[in-house]
Amino acid sequence: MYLLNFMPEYHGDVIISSSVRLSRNIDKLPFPVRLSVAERDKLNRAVYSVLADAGLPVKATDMSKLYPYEAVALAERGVISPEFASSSGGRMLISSADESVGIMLNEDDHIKITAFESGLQPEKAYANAEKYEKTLDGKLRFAFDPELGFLTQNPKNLGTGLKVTAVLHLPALSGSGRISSLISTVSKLGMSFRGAFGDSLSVCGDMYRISNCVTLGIDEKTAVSNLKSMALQIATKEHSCAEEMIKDISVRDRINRAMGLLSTAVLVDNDEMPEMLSLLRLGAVYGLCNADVSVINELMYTLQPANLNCLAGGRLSVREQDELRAKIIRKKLFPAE
Amino acid sequence: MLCQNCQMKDASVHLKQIINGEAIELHLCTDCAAAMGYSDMFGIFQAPFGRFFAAGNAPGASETRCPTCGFTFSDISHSGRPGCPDCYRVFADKLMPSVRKIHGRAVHTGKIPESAGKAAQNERRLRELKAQMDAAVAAQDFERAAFLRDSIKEITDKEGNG
Repeated sequence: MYLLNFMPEYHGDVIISSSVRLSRNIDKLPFPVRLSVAERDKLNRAVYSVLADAGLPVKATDMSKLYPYEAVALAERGVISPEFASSSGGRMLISSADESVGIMLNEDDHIKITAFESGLQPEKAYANAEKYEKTLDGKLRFAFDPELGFLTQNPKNLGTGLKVTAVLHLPALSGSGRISSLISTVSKLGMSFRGAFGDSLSVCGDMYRISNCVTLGIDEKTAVSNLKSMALQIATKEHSCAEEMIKDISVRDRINRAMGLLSTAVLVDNDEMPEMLSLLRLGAVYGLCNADVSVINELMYTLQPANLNCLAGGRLSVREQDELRAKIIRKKLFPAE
Repeated sequence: MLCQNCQMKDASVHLKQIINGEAIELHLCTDCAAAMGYSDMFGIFQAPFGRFFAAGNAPGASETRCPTCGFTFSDISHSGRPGCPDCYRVFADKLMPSVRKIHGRAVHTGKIPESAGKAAQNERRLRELKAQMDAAVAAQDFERAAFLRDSIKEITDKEGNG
């Protein structure tokens, strides 16, 4: 699991992580959907060799060798896209040991490099992704057009092929009902703003994801800076809204109830978990309860069903998942109780 | 109002789409709307991009094949995606209207990969100098325009000799 440390100096009270994704294709080679499994495997080996020969600490995962729940677990943690997890033939994931970098080979594009950082540090994430991209650029010829930029299978990504994302925890804006107008405003500025987990229409645990949509006619530095500025503005709004919100005794009551439930429950289901952790996180950030925010950040991802299956080493029933989820919460968040 | 696709019949289907925060209006006759897949509401949501490419696929379109992946333009409009990076060059005239619908008239201003070579760097420089020269002419700063023209010539001469 990549680092999700609570970093107050990088607006970690609101912003859980920043990531960038670079889409690249090899010149004169059909897009993955037009390649045979053997051709995709050849590409996988070539990309892996370039990175390994350059001395970058990477491990290769052949997606066809994973159980379906193992692939879904990677998607739950955000290392790969749900689409990448859905089909395995000729696909490879190259990742760093801590999963702070994940390179999907043969998704819709040949190469998709994703780099993550805790808090609001998109520049650092970009620099890390660019290190891998430059290593590949030295050995492989990327498909590029001076006017259209990097050529991608989806024309929406033409240009920089860069997607910058920040994941934000917005319990106050969400709870006060101000989130819808904010989503509408941000969407008009060429950015997407939606739930961080599951499908784009549902929101779990007040977690949101903001990403740039514009990739052509904008350089990388500006795209990163625009996203950072927008995430920062939202974080400031959330902060002031939360400070008002926690004065309300009913909110403090809900936080304490969440803490009581999570510290004693023996079954916690997958819908209840994000809602309760969201309240606990709000309380922990503002000093209303004693819980480790870094651990809460991590649990938001690792308590999802496929990750629990991975932990147990096989498919669990829903009841078994709920039991394991509750056990992990008690052990990691309330060790003394 | 005439159909903006065939420019012959009256537009009776009026659609509005929001792309990148920009509202795009389509005014089509029933035949063109059906040909572009807007005959039923769900068609819009099932393959919006395929429909976008299909918009440029007039009857009798050429069946040129991309030499790299073998795709025809019909294949692209059917799948909604090009088959390889070269498709963008081979079918540029048909794909560009759809690309413009997404990105407007923007051109790439981001990084140029090392593997794209000196030619791509020069093309970017020429584009910038030409834009500056046009601005200088518009501002009637002819001395600067002449200087920029000479800079452009210097690059193109070097390219010619290289």
